[in-house]
Amino acid sequence: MIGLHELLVVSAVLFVLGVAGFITRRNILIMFMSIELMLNAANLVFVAFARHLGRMDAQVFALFVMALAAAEAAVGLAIIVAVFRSRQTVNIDEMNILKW
Amino acid sequence: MTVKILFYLFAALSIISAFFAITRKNPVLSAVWLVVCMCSLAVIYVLLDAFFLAAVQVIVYAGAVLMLFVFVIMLLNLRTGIIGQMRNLGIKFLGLVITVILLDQLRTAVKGAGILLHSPGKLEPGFGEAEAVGKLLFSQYVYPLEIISVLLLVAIVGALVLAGKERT
Repeated sequence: MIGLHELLVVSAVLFVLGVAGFITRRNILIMFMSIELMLNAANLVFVAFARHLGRMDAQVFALFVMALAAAEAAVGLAIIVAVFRSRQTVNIDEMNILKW
Repeated sequence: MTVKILFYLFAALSIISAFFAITRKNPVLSAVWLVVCMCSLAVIYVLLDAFFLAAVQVIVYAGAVLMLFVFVIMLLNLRTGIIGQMRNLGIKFLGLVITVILLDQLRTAVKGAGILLHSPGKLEPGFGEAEAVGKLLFSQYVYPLEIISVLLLVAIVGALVLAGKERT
């Protein structure tokens, strides 16, 4: 059986990579992918604890997180498309006003 | 033993592909590396006896969400001039510092986790399969399920309103 420690370390590294991508990149699409990465790291913790507690409740919650990520991706990408239509850019440093 | 070897293999693959996903200049390449990451995570889910969740991970993440990403990238028709600029060095350095601090914090958190946990050696039959997860989903967690379905409906409407036909 895979140890809980190794799983948590993998999840922490994935989460930190997501944070790093979110902070250092300025392409909004890649920032979005970083958010997906962070959600996946959280899911891995859910599944790891589900296995180590012998209960499936956490797997159900991981399922909810996946549904949430799908909804978030749909709305977020719609926003990106809408912004790109009016500004012709995906660089967040150029999206610095709320109304134009 | 095989499980451990497979776990280390796919854990390394997921971390490496995640690193490539956040460092590639071209967002299409990023999306492809992210698909690799999601699929290796699905393998780890299988090793953790979460069979249903592994299938959902491949279908929803690798199939639907990343497909949506690639589709939007295609729709935006990015020219080489506007993709792939990194932030200036100051923000990059700041990001690195924040990342290292966070990693250190998480390290201490991981160190203390699971001390009181005594894992069961044997699982009940059918653990993590669609039937067992579905039973739990539609009995104990039926209200969250309904709420999440409403959330998905709201997301559909929101996406249509935001990205649908241009209003004049």
